[in-house]
Amino acid sequence: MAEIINTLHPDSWVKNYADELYAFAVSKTGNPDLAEDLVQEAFLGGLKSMQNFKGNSSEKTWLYAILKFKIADHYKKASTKNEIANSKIQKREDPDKDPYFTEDGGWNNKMRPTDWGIDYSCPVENKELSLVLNKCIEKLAHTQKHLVRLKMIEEVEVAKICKELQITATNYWVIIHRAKLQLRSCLEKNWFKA
Amino acid sequence: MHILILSCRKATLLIEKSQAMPLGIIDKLQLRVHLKLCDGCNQYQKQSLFIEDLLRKDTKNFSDPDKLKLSEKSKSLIQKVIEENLKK
Repeated sequence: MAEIINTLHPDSWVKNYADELYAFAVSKTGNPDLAEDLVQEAFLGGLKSMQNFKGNSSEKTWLYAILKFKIADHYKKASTKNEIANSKIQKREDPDKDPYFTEDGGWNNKMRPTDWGIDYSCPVENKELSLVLNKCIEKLAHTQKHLVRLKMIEEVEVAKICKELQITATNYWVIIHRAKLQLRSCLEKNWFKA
Repeated sequence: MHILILSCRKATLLIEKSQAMPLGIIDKLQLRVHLKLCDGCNQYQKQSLFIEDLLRKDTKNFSDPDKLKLSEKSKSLIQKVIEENLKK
């Protein structure tokens, strides 16, 4: 059986893929300047690792994979840098001032999720909703934001991520839990009940 | 604490965990019972999964691709670097 071997044409990368990769990077980072840097890094990274291209995926798929790696790497590095500062913040967090739950762990009345009146199983294609979600992500605390952004680009293997970022699994889940509570409440306020 | 009683705080944490890994038998049972009784956490579970889907979407939802282009400055810079590298 004849196999299609793909080849690389770096001289036309910019023309063919720059805008598409840039739009992808903006959608995953919510930050045009950062996206621009990461796309540059991805192209240069591709150039440096051309000899590793096996030809079993398309040139485009290969460039996307490099870009995803660069985005993930950015957030991993950012999380590690922020780790110490954030652990201090977490210790200071007063459980009595938990906005979501009462002392005995029940929902605070104002924060109890209410029906959004949508078909949750139905995939949505809504640009405005995604824009609101992106704004909500930007409002998260550093580590929360970075871990959510990581979720957006790769299937997160919790044990692996925890090892890379030097956090405990318990800590990972506390951060994700807090992030999701805030995102849910932010979407409810700014989209579903706006 | 009774084995079947779970706070909403713990229940929502388990909902998050359950999306990434299978829960232990006790956690699973506790969560199942809790969700039968708690409407707030039921909504939370649906909405959490909905948000998860939204996060993973591989589209350029956040921006209009027609309006969103890499700057010409960046493009010519990258093009230049690529061409110089190819000459080597």
